[in-house]
Amino acid sequence: MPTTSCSPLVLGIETSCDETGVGIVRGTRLLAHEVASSVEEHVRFGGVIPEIAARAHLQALIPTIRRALEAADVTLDELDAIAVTAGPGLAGALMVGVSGAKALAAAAGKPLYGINHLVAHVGVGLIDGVRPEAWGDALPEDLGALLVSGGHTEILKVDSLSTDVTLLGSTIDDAAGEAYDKVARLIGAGYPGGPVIDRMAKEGDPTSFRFPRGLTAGKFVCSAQEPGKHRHDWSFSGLKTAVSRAVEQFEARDMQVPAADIAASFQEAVADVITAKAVRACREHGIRHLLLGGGVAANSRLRGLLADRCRSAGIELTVPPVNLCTDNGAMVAALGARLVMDGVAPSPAELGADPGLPVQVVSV
Amino acid sequence: MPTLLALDTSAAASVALVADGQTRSCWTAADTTSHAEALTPAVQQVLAEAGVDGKDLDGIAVGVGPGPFTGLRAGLATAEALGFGWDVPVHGVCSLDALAHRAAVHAFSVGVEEYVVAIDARRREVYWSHHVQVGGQATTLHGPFVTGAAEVTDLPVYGAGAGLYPDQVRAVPGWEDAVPEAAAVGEVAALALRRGRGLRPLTPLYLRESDAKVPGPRKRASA
Repeated sequence: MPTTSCSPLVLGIETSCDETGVGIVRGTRLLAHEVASSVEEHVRFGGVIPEIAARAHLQALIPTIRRALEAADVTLDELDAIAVTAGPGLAGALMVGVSGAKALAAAAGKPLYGINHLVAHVGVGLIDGVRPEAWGDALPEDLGALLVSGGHTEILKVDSLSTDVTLLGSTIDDAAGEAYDKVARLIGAGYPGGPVIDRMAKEGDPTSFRFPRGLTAGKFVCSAQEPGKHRHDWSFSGLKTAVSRAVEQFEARDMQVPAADIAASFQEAVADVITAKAVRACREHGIRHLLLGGGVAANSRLRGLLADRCRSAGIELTVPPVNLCTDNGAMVAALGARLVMDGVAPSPAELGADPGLPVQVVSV
Repeated sequence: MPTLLALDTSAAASVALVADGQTRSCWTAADTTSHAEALTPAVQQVLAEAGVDGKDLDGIAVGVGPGPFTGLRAGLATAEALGFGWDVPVHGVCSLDALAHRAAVHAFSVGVEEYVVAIDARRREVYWSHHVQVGGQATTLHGPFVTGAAEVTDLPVYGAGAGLYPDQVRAVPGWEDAVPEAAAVGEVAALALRRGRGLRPLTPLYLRESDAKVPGPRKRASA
């Protein structure tokens, strides 16, 4: 067998939201990790505008691919495969990456893998330097992943990264990062909400307001033996409404809104409910290793509380560097390389973008 | 004359191989909602039929619109990635110029000098541009624009945009369904390369901003 099958050289393209990411790996070794973000263009809208994101992807796609090839010092010809995020994500944004990747793969005569964005976040755990030494070369059994971002809040069980991923729970309304953006706007903190609220929360008292923890009532949760429908799910819409009410009540009385206390209490509610439910899901599904992914992984309170609770529960927590937690092409390349190594067939010629791609579908 | 691969996604998606002024092979999409799925396989099919290797092309011509945003981006992303992969230049062509190129031959034959081409822009508007033909060759005078049909310059109008609003514009009979097509994009590019003018940057002619509104100040609750 050629050496390439042991550590294939794979270029990964990610355009599911507002980051144009291109990464290159050789097996599990990261060679290039380039990201062009359109976040600045979304600031004035207080959220990601899909059409603006899609326009930015088209501008950035080829220059970012070029930069990644230069950074890795490899040519298109040398690649063994190309991988691209096929979904889930914003339709117009995905379409740019998928169209470009298909054309690039055809022109270069390389196999193309349309992969799942959520599973790619788990693929980061394969990368040298992220993967704990104790794991050896592969992902451990009993692996779970908690993904928290502007578009996602999910807990996954990963029995095989290339073929067997199960969704244990997810948000039933807003993603956690979306709730941050909306609350940041309510208290006039700015955008994106995650970092600004994290900063404000440090000045506030997290116990000053008791905001609700969604889907924690007995009827949703029930017992481990007979789990309720939403035992491992989250909901942030009630929390957002509670914050809105609190702000309105201060304003109606012409009182100054205690923004820092609200930020701290909101953040506490989010971190508490995410980590409590994630750790419970891990315990009940035999997950001993948990990988954190998504942009909200940068949040100091979420990281801190998750680390504490994992430690108490005897779960090993792995938190990749923040620039590999946010959307990027390196994770797509890493998952692509894994698929090549596991002998998974490439995607068919009629590959398209699937904005609602379920997490069980690792590659299309 | 160069050998060009041409793509257009401003209305229906189409791909053509144009060499020495002739269309050697071409493909047109049956539906307009699956550009990302269909374009690259269509390119491979068109090249195979013409017996041309992508690396041997003199260039790629792509229609940059105006047209539906998502489709335009699929076309441009495909063309640019092919050009990068094969290391051949990619040229942008206004898709309406491709339609005007076809219409010019007809306009010449019936003695019309100035004319308009128009295609559907949805939202009760049309994408259109104003051209003059000399000896059956088109030159763009104004446009492209996106407006209601009633605001289109009062000249004979070629294309599906006229077919949709026959009461508001002077639709040229027989051209009521005409839309830009890849083969014409390739011909326009070949002409433009020879003349040294008439190409466009590889930026979609969106003509409209995204619909996003900057949120106003939040309403304060009052007692």
